[in-house]
Amino acid sequence: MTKLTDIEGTDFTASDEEIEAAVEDAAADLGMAPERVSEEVAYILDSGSGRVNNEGVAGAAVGSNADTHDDPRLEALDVFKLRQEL
Amino acid sequence: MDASDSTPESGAGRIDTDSTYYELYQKSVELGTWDAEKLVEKVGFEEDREVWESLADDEKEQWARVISYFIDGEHAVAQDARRIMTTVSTPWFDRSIEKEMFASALALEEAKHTQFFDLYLSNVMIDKFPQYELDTRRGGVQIPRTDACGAGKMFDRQGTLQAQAAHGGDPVDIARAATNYHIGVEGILARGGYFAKNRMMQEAPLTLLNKGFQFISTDEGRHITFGLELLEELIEKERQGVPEYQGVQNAIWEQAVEDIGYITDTGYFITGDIGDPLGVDFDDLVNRGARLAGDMLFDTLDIDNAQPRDYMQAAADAMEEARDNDYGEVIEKYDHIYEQKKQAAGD
Amino acid sequence: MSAQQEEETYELEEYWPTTAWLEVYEADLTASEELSEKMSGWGQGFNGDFVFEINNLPIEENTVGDLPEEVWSALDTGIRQLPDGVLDTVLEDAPEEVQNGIEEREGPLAERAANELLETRIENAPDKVWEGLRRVMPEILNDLLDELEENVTDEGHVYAWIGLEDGDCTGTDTLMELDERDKGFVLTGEYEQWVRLVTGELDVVEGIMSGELELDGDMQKILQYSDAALLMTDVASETSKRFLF
Repeated sequence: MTKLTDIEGTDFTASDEEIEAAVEDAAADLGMAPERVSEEVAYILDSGSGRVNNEGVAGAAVGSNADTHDDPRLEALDVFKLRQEL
Repeated sequence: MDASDSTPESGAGRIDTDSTYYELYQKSVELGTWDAEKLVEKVGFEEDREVWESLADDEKEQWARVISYFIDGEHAVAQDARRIMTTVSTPWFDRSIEKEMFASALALEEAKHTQFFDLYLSNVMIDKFPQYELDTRRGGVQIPRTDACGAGKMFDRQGTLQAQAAHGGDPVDIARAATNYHIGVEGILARGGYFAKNRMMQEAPLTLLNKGFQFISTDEGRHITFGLELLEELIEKERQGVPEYQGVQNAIWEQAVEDIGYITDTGYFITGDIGDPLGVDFDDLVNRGARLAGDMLFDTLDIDNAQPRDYMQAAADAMEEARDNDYGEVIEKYDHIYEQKKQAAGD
Repeated sequence: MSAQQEEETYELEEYWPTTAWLEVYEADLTASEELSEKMSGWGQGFNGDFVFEINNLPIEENTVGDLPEEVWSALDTGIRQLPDGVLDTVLEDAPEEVQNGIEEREGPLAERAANELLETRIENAPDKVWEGLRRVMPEILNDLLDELEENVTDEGHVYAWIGLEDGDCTGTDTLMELDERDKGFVLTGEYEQWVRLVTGELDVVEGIMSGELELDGDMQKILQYSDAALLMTDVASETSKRFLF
């Protein structure tokens, strides 16, 4: 299983620290362990393959989500948070 | 919510919880069970309708071309899912419940993707789809736009290949079907579509549609991984010299080459043919598609004897045809057929 | 060193990547009748010129001594054979950094001087040679250092421009900046991948599909003239060459 901060990608704009902080906030909101959230978000991005291959999420922030600053990891975290509400 | 946390304690019975297929299944349960109706309810159509109404006709047309092939593709796959369930339970694979478990999740997810696009198209884009509502299983045909481009042909081919694989097909038939669906349709055509929508969203940010695409592409990521796992199993047996599996890699390559023709045509249909008003960029799309194909065929599957130039040649041939093609005329022809079918269904 | 080895020298045009080699490539492209045929109409109504962007030549990590032996062996031998008095005179005009480097080494002067020069990083080499040294340097090394100074960017990139129109190569050039000339297409890759490409080990299509190479430009035109585009890289791999690194 890939760790979220281990995923490689060319368009990552947020630092690992920012990612970890965002994951911790989300985990607190959702009542889940941060490790678990991080794992699920990584899985959203790469389906366990170790490479960023989720085109639909990875490039999705463009122009449409100011909160994620175009970092696909933050965008994937948003997807996960929304998924937990559905 | 967090089902797999309990796995270690509950232990494994007849289900192999260490299997990649099980992991994929479990992730489908955790991530893939989103509710399309709730998504629509939560985000709402209003913002998207407003943006949609503000678009120029050619911009709407570009979206319509992309969404046509998505909804018809999802619909076709939802129909084929039962065949995939049959195929993965044949003795050609080491029989295991885990593959069937995942295939059942895939079936649900594809049905849900169809549901999402159906809701979206009917509530936001319907002015561009006067001929949409006829189910292909109730005497209808694909949306005229889908039929006019390579995607339509690819989905027809998918049905044939999946049927051949499920009904007494050998490993070579299964390899063809899995390549066409998991690599061609999901791995390149759909992911190329996500690439396109990312670009189009910059000019025309359709929030709900974007959210739907994000969930759908997350589900599709697992489907692609599943397909590549299946193909790796078949290739492994071929490499071990098992007689019935000989020809698997050749079939994968041949199918991939055939499919890139359909995909190239579709790529041109949604961009260059209509002047690309929302700025996808055909060149970037081709490059992205080539990379996705290379990752799957060369990096992941590492298939032997592939001739990359065949791949380029097939794309070049498709492009030559596309340049001479009057898609508008073809759409009109299919519009006419559709209208007749609709009247017949209504009678 | 045997006399036979000393005779083993090559012209600048045989070394890749150099402007002289690029001119040989130009001649080979021009001579190819197959290319004339397959590229007929290319570049008409659009810019058909190419840039081969060869990134990160290992000039930072490699030293002069890592270049092919025939390039530096005569310098090495020459220095080691010079009487100390003559060598002292040659070194008098050397840049301070070189003089200090020699000073800090141990052993006989000729050995220290030869090692100092051969262990110079290639990116620093043009700044470390001086007029007196150039007089005892083999011509090929002189030429290569000029090439390095004039045709390789500080970052170690080479931009080889190839003019192409209607089946003909209209000229070649090396650029210090990518935007120095108009072009329709840019094929980009790391130096190592380019070596694989021009030796025929890496197929250009496979390179693009695997991400080892990137092609920027009008893909409709590339697909329309796919045979010609492939032939262009085939000619590059067939043009004889010796690699500098």
